[in-house]
Amino acid sequence: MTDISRRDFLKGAAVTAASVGLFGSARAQEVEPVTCGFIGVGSQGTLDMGKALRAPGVKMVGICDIYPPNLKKALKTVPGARGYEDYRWMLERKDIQAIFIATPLYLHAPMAIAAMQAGKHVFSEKMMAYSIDDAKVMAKTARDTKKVLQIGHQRRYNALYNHAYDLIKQGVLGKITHVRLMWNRNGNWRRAVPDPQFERLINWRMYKDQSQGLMAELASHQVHVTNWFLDSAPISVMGIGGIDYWKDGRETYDNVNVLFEYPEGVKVYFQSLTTNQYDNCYEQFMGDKGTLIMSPSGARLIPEPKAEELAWASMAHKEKVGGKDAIVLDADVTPRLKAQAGEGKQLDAGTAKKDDYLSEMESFIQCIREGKEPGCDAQEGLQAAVSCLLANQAMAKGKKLEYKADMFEI
Amino acid sequence: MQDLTMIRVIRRAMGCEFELLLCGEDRRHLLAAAEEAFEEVHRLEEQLSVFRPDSEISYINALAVKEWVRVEPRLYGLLQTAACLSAETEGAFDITAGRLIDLWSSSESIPADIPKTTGEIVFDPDENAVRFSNPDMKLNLGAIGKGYAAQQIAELLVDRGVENALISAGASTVYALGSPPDEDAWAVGIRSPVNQCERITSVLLRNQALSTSGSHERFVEIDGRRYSHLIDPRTGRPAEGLLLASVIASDPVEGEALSTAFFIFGLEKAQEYCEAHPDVGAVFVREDWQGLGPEVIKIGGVSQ
Repeated sequence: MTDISRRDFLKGAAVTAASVGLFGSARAQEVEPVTCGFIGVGSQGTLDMGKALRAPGVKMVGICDIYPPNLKKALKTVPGARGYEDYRWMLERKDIQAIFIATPLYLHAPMAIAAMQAGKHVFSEKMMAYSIDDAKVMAKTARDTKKVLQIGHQRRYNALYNHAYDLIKQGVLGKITHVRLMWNRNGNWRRAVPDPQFERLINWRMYKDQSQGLMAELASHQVHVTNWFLDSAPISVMGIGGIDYWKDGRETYDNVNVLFEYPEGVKVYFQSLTTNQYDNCYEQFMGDKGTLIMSPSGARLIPEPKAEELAWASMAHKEKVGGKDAIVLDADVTPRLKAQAGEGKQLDAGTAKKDDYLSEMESFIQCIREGKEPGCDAQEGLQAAVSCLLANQAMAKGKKLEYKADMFEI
Repeated sequence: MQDLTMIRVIRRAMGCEFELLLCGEDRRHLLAAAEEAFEEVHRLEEQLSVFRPDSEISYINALAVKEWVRVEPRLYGLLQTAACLSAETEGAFDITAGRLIDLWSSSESIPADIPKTTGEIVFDPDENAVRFSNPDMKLNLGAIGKGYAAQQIAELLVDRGVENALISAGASTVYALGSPPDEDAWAVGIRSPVNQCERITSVLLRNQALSTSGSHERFVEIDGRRYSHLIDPRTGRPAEGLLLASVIASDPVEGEALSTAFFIFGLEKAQEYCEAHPDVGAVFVREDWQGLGPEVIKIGGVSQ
């Protein structure tokens, strides 16, 4: 069968179902469409756009990228959309209500600000912006234009993280005193460049005028979670970074080791290596009653020996972590166990599980429809960005730096 | 001009060993391309696996029985292709046979009653949405996922300027992009289904895929008897008759689907299919009728 005859066959398949009235409605349930444009369809952008298009009602009518192969590829997957080389042309379209931005970091602020000023709601990939000033102007613009501005820290929309947050607030870890954030890989963090002329465009993460390196691309997710779980922001930071292994012309650190101080003496350590992946990627919250080790792929709770046993712990699935019994947390299962143990209310049977990217996209669209504030709003995005940006400054200066309260204010 | 170099990277993904052989002038560039390719495989595994409760396929399986579900555009395209291939192979290849696969893989005895659990995927092209015609059906992309991964990797490598590569997704599918240095095509062997150390034949591939389905590596054992893991969606029972079916096709998705279909519907129908599709070739292994050992049969365009 050729592509054309396959398409004819499919047309037939859809129409047949419609004609027999299989479902009452021959078409997907109509919800009020939200017309959208997407800027930046590289690796992350392609993933984001795929998730956004799964959200009911999203109608992608414009796609912009300055790298022609990526634009061409994206337009192929969204046949109804129009392609743009310059995002400003796309912003002139009156029919577009929302803009997604998945471009190199230094472009988030100018694009988001222009989009909001043009009357569009904005979803911007993390980290929020290249500089503290940029992030603040973005946040102010959202406030002044009354547009939804959501930042892409998807853990905020992850059911497991929300479940862990609830457990922490219920005191399962006791008083959290230390946090370890790990994001380690063994690789040069480069993307393959088909032609040397595209090096800075494709490997923008390596160059200081476009990127804030590992702190922005990796740490910001975990620091965002830390700020969220601790309900606070750091008060000081120090660290050491370097270009010590991949001496390949890059300008951003290939390893960073950062120590944040939070209120009440809480210390938070972040490490990102590109030469050893043993410790991989996780966030570890350590309290006087227990330790929580988690990543989007799973969460384990290891109670301290002296802690009072949790009422539901005996029913929970356990695994050995570092030779100790660890409770496997599950956003569906654990609340049920707690309900059985008389804690919390019985929940309905589990529904289809959504990954966090889909949840964050659906939430963004819902905020636009209902005029609600997003979970990861400008304030949360600003807080994570400021936390990480000052860490880079501390490493560059070789000094301990203090956060000023007004840094986090919009 | 720099000398050509070749790198080989192996990683475990999608329940098998993925192996990439990349040729080019710049080793650093090739390593970066391989890294990106594996990132793509992991992304696809997260999206397509029925074993992951938060995969897109699991999400569709949970919801499309009762409502329309919007699908990521590339996956939507894959589901459409799968539906076409199912129609072309008269249901011998059918991604809606997920429940049958579950039934046989978890069964300790021959299932007495095999309910009709396959059905149709209904498409709404305006919304990129799908819905199931049968409330009992479940998608399983096991017979097409690795071919899709090979196709996506090949596309990514071409985008990154890698023109010559061999992409192996376990024993299921190999895609040959271009050719190795100083050769016109990649020579790829097909292992004997009865003796894994033996090669029954090798084929030459250039911008082509070789996909293999067989009962030798994976099977279900019930009451001491081994059954093929390949279930005939039309009867609900394990396919019998052949030891191996390999398909050569320009598209690895089509190739992988057809190797399953050919294994299930056998030589005669495969012959008909190859006559109607001259770009598709196949190699079969069956027990020799005199019991003298495996017999190798080639049909359609097979370059050696």
